[in-house]
Amino acid sequence: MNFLFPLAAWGLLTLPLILILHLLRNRRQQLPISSLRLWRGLQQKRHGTLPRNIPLSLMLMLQLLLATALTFGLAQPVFSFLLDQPQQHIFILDTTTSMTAKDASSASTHFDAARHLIQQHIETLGPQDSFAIVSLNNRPEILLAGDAAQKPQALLALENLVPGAVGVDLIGALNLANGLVDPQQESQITLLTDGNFTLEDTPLPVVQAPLQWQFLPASPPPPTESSNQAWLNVSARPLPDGRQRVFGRVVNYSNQPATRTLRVWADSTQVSEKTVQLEPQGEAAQVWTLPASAQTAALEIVEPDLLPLDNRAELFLANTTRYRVLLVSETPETLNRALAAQPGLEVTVDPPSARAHNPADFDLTVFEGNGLPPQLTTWPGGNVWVINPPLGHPLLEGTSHQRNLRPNLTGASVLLDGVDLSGVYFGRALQLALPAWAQVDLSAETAASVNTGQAVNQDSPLIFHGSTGQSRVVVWTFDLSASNLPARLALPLLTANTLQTLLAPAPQSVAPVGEPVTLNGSFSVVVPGGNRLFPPLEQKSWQGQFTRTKQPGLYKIYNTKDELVAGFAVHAGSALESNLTTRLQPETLNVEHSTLNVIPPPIQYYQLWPWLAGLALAVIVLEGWLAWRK
Amino acid sequence: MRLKNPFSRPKESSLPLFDEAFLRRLEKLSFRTMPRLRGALLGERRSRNLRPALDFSDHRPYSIGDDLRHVDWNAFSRHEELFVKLGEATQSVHIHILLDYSSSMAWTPEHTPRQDRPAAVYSKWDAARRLTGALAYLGLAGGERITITPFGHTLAEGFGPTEGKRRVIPILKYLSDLRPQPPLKGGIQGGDLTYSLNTYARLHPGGGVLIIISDLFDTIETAALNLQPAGRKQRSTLDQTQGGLDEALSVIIPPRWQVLVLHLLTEEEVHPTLDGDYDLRDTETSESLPFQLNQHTLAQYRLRVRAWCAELQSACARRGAVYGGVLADWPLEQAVIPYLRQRGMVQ
Repeated sequence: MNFLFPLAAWGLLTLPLILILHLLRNRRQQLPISSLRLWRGLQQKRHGTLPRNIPLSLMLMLQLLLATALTFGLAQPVFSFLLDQPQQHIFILDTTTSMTAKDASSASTHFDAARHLIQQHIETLGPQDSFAIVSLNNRPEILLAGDAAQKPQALLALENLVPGAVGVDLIGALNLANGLVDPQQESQITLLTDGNFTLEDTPLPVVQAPLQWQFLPASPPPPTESSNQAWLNVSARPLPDGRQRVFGRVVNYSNQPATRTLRVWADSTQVSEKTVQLEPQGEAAQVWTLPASAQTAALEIVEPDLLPLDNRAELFLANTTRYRVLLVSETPETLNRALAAQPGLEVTVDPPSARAHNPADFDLTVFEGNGLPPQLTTWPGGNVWVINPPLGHPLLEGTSHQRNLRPNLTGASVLLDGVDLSGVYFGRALQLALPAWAQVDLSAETAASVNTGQAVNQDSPLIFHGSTGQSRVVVWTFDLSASNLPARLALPLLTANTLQTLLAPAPQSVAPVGEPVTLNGSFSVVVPGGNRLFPPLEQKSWQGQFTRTKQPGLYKIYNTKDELVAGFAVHAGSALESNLTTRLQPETLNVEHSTLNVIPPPIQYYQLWPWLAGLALAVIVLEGWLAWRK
Repeated sequence: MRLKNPFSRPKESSLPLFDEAFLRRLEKLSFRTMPRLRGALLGERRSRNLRPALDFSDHRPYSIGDDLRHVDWNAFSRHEELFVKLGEATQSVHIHILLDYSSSMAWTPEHTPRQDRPAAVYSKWDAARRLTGALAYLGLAGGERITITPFGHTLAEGFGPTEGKRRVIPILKYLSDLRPQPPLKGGIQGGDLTYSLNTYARLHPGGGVLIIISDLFDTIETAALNLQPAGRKQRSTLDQTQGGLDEALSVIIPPRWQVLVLHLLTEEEVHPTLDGDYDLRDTETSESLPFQLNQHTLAQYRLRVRAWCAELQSACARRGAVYGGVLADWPLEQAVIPYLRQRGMVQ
């Protein structure tokens, strides 16, 4: 049984009030007797004039019953179990990096405390109850949702949750939680957070269930004890002689001055250690030069503080990103030179007559001229670049060759950005019907043929691209050897743009914790700690975004041959999360942020107050009848 | 909450105090007095004194002044000495009835009596007046002289002395019109038996039969009681009770006085049935005391009443008085008169 207006329980204070009134009204009865002389020896010392025993009477009982009935009626008791009303508890769990901070008096983190609260609730779930956990970070998402039947799995998944994100989107999290509210259930939303963010003036959205703020810890430590130092803006830049210059800022997020020891590691060798004096809320910029042979660097603040995650930052120093390109061509020299000028490419040349490599092992397969096998009826999987396709190929149905074409730059796509094609002519290009899956990037303009004098179609595509099946295809219809393009700077630029269209760019070298990193191709990732992940296989809706970056450290990307092809670092330090002194105080939460945005759940309860009101009315009538009769 | 019983008996009974049939039945009874008791001559009661008479049973030597008609001349002829013939003398006894009319005598229980106890027909005051009237009629019918004197704090103006059965109507009218003494102000106790008996003895040096009808509450001296330690209260109360009545009876001593003490109480005073929290208020002094009455307290009270009555009886025995405890609830004819006959007061 629940009460829709529990404050009415204060009405129970009328019960002792009624008793007191009866005690006052029913003072000890005066009884005349013939003489007190025989009673004197039996006199009992009494204090006051009130009788000790409550004078029980029918009127007193009726008045107590009346007060009780009215109080419970005002409290509006409801029997939700009569309707088999299940309960739904939605937790909005702060998963930002600041939740990994520890209290000065406790060894567990704030996130551990929040997780413990949720675990306790899940363990007490009723058979009809359900729960959901929504993350509170810059990208709110549903972390867990289930009911009592999924209790073991939920507890295990909850145990494996790892916090790590920068910033919060409270409105998004509330909207997400509000969308989970089941109107057929008695829902409750609990926001578990350390309050390490600020509420903007934008009003919070209205939610369909009572919203409870629960701060961890409940009583925040004073700002003077919220000492934390962090690495920020850690980066590296190669010097001309091959050495690496590493830069980083160490910031003191404390209201007290701090002295900290900084250590720098190149690979697994410590190369520097220094002590810095940090003013309150001050910072110190540090620069180190590491040898050219160093592959990784690590910066470390030795002394522990409340947030250990941001005390260490690591970097990849060598550019390890490599793409493997298979060039199938009878005359690969020109294109090979253009590809060789691109960074991070490993080009393998196969003559068409003696193919020795499987395109599936390469990130890109380039078919030039007759290199495109005539028996190929479907595009091979992966990235395919076709240059000067042969006439009559089943995949690209060309009708004839056109000659002396000039590019029409007015309709060029982004693939031609930064490419100067002025003065470039194409001596021979295959005229073909544009496939349905293709989009034209560059077409030829109308020009008189030098030799034949025939007019060509203005829509003749020179470059187009598209995706068909499992393949992403770019087609250059012109012959490089019959054009002056190889002699222009435009060829490597156009080649780079084409490669950028087909191949994903190299991942960023440093990412904030929790931020997704764009990765393409077939690969595996070794995360800090040594676990190897296969994102394209593990993530159902893989769209090239690697999101499991909640652990700070080095993430190494390996290709299918288990070769290190790329890597990036994740840093936990940030101005938003590392500064633990700017905590949202619970008392600053005004009504607008807490209770006013609650709409009573539209649950059909079995209301009891009409019965209680009827009982009170009956008692009043009975009392009146008794008083009249008396 | 204890409700007042709407069916409680009114304080003044609507029944007549005396009825003619009852009085006629009393004519057959008479007081049994001590023969040595002195009374007025020419009564109907035999006296232990002998006086000169024609019907003689004894002789005494003649002395100057004796009536010569009572000289036994036959004896003079034989013994040549003058002897006077002596016969039995008759006398009438003066019966003094002291009726306590203090406020405590007018008390009637206001609370609900116990279910197993029938409501009393007459109140204590009615019972006292009926008893007084019955004894007065008994005396008048036996040719005795009757004096009725109410007493409270002091003696009040009474009725009598009178004699003769024809005076019974004025006596009964006097009793019917007699009202109890109102409560005195200033906490003064309503009755003072010692002072009243002292005064009465001085006013009536001839003595006689003295019948005291009272609840005797004023014989309990409490002035010293309040100064006693708490643990000795009960014993002190009884001691003072004994002293009070004993002292009062010390001035009314045989053989001049033959004393009958009729201790009149109600059943509710002897065995109260109260239960709960009360402020008990003394009807005489209007003093109130808070009590939480329960079985334990009432048992102590009943023990105290029993001891008090025993001590009163003992005090009466020491002073040659007859003690008779009478409950106001007793029917006068069926209970009180046989009770007095059993104690040798009437025959």
